[in-house]
Amino acid sequence: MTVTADKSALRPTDRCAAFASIYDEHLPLLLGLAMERFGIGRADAQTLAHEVFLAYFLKMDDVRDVRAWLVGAICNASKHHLRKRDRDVEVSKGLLEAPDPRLRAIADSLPDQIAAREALSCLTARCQLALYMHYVEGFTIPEIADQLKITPAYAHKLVTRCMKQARKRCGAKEEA
Amino acid sequence: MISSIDAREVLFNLVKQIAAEREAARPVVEVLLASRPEDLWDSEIPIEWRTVGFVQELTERAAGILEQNTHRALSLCQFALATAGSINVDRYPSIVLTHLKSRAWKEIGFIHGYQGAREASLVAQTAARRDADQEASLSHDSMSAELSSGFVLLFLRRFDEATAVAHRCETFFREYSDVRRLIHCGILRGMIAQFSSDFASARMFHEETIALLQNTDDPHTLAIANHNLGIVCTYLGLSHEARIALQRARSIFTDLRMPAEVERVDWVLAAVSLANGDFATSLTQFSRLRVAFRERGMAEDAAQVGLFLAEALAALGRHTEARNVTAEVIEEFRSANLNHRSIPLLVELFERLRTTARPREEIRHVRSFIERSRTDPDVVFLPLPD
Repeated sequence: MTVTADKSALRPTDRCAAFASIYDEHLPLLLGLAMERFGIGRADAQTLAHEVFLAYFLKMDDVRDVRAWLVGAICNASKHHLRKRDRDVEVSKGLLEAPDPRLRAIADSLPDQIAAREALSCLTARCQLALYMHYVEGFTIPEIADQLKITPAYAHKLVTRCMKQARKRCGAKEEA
Repeated sequence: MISSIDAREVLFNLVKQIAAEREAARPVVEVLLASRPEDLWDSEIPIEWRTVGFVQELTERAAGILEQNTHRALSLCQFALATAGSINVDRYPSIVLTHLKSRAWKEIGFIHGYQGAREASLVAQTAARRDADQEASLSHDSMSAELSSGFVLLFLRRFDEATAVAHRCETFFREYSDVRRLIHCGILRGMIAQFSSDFASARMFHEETIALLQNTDDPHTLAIANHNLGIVCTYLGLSHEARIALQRARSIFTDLRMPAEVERVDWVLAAVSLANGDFATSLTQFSRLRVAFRERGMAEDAAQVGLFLAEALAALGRHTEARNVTAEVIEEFRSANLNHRSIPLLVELFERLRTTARPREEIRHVRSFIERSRTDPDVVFLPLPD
């Protein structure tokens, strides 16, 4: 926890106005850096700059030197973008035209995916967290136990019970 | 579905939406802060709470009550994380949801660390970092989590890794001209020296940090630096300088209404009194602190203070009471599942206090070992020579 000036008390309209003024003042600088210093095309630079502004908005209470923060953020985002682009491999024209093999069974898998998402969303908060930690973050049972300050045996029981709850609710949705 | 925020209008609409959500969340979060968090966990999360603004507001406010109630702060931050995971992924760009989860994990990690649960803290900070690393524009979030993990590594006595974190973070935060976090890096370096028993270097680091903080509006960090300087001066035998630094820290924490931090400073002040032979004063202070830490659910700190209390009692010749407090501490270690290696030693100490001619030294020796073994699994206990 940090103690800083309470900018979060700003009214939403004031917050948005402050953001708009910072956006207008700094957008050309951020675009210029992404395009000229890192050789990124205008469209990608625009997306990166907007993501940086969004990241700034989400933690604007925590930022003191706005210009330096935005410059640091666009430089790091540009480097990240270039690293990611370097890992991309050019694909042949034929491959581009062929359907994505992952989408072949989309008609079968999509309802399952939607059902799984919906089932998760109607679990109790406790089950949402337990299953999120186990299946999304990849935590082991002892790690979940540490996080929730419960015994590993109880954590195991919790995850099992939550899976049952998910299956039951998923099944109930399908029947409905 | 918001998959792209290329257009100015889309970005601004999103920003307005999140600001409005946060405003709408304020009264609800206010009620949640005052209610029993246990009541939240066995129901579905209401649909109207599944917004970015709600999770932002809840995470920030929950982290803010850490000093008043660590259990509630942890439970509410975990609830914020569960809520973030329940938001429909099609409603916001991925960067927003990733930021929410990373921020919630960071606060969860901080609270675990505050409660002395170092491993759980490190796992949470690693999750915060891993989440933030998914997005190009969240590198500041990622490195902030890394800096927090540096402090956890320090408490785990993994000094090389903590030093590497300090170095990486200094380079990174310099790019952002993030003075506050650069100062935190200085505090980390000072504490690494302090924990490595290089007290002269630690003193230099802390004094430099305090000088840098004079021109900033960050009283919390100034208090932390003074607290650390006070501890280092205590080890250097500079009781006068220690008291001055500790009183400064105490005064700032009091102004900031951070009672648990005030108590941690009082713990060091009581230890200074004990070291200087002012046993009666230290006894009163340790008794009060023990009750306060128990009430806050800080079991490990309460047990540690218990051993200081036993030492003060032994120093005053109140051996039976010292033994009774040791028995309480054993029970606390058992029931709170604290450092298992310590329990046989405490039982042995309890027995030895019946007959030993040097009860104070025996207690101090076991206490020092327990402090060290919290973070160094390889340390070996050697009994005091007869």
